[in-house]
Amino acid sequence: MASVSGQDGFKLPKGYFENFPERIAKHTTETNPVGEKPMGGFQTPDMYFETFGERLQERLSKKDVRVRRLRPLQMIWIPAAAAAILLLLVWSPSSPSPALEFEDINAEVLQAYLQTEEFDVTPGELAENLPLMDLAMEDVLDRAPEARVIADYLEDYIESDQELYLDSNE
Amino acid sequence: MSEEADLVARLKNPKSQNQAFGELVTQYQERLYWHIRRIVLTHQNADDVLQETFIKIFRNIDGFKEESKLYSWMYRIATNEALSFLKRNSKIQGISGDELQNNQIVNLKADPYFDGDQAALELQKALLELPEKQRLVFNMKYFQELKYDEISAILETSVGALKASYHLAVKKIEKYLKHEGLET
Repeated sequence: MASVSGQDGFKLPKGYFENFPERIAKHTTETNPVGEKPMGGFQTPDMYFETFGERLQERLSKKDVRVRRLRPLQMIWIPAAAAAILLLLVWSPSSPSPALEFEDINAEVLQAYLQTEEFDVTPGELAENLPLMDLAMEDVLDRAPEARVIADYLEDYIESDQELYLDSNE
Repeated sequence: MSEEADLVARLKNPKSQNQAFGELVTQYQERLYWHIRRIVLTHQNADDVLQETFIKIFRNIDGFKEESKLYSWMYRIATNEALSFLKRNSKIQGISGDELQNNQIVNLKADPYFDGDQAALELQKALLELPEKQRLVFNMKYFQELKYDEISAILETSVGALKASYHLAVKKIEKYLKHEGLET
């Protein structure tokens, strides 16, 4: 019976297993990544994965990614100083700084904000948290799913009932 | 201590986190990339989402309670990031879900990092016709060859429901491809 122990004449190049992961990784990156079916046309730029870590580190070092906890003393004096400055600004007769009106906000900026901000509020949460008088019917109806989504759901649900009893087993 | 628990502990320790994060990126970048790429389709978008995913992982590692496997948690973040990216894009462009699907195909055709033939393109079109959950399950099961248990932990869905979703997805894709005149 053949043995893989190397005792029956089979040999391996020196250091074969030492750099095996790197070699297999290089191979799979270029042709077919681990755990992936043939790519179906999807590719990546040359050296993409080899350089990804560096680019990510660069981006992380540019961004302030850690939220630092303020020390207890800072937590007291910073708000106090802010309040004092605010009071000075409000009560100072020599600084009649104009208050920012809603109309002063650039309409484009506002529109961009409204379009890009995510509002993760469900109709249920809206109804719970807003007084009834503030809640228009459109607020809820606007957030109702599209007809196609409902149709997909119903189709899945009806078919699922039958399919659930089939054990496709992998 | 398991290898994963050790990595998580080092990620949470400010002294060792940079090196541990480098290891984490090396270990998971390809798997997460292909998972994201199957959702957003173009390389440029996949690159953006992959970077955002790792930044989220780095920022939120302290909140990872190790109640699930690290890779499940990371896959969940990647999935959420990719889906949010698509939704945000359709919102910014002011387009509906159907238009977004068309745009994705148009963008894929123009992607210099896609050279699939007509059949590959039709398969992507068929996948885009699927409901979001079925598409995710199909990609994870068929292309990434994840086990149902692993998908269940990532999508927080029962194995039975996943089997049903996968079965339906395969049937719908077959139907679509036959309708388009392509054999399966």
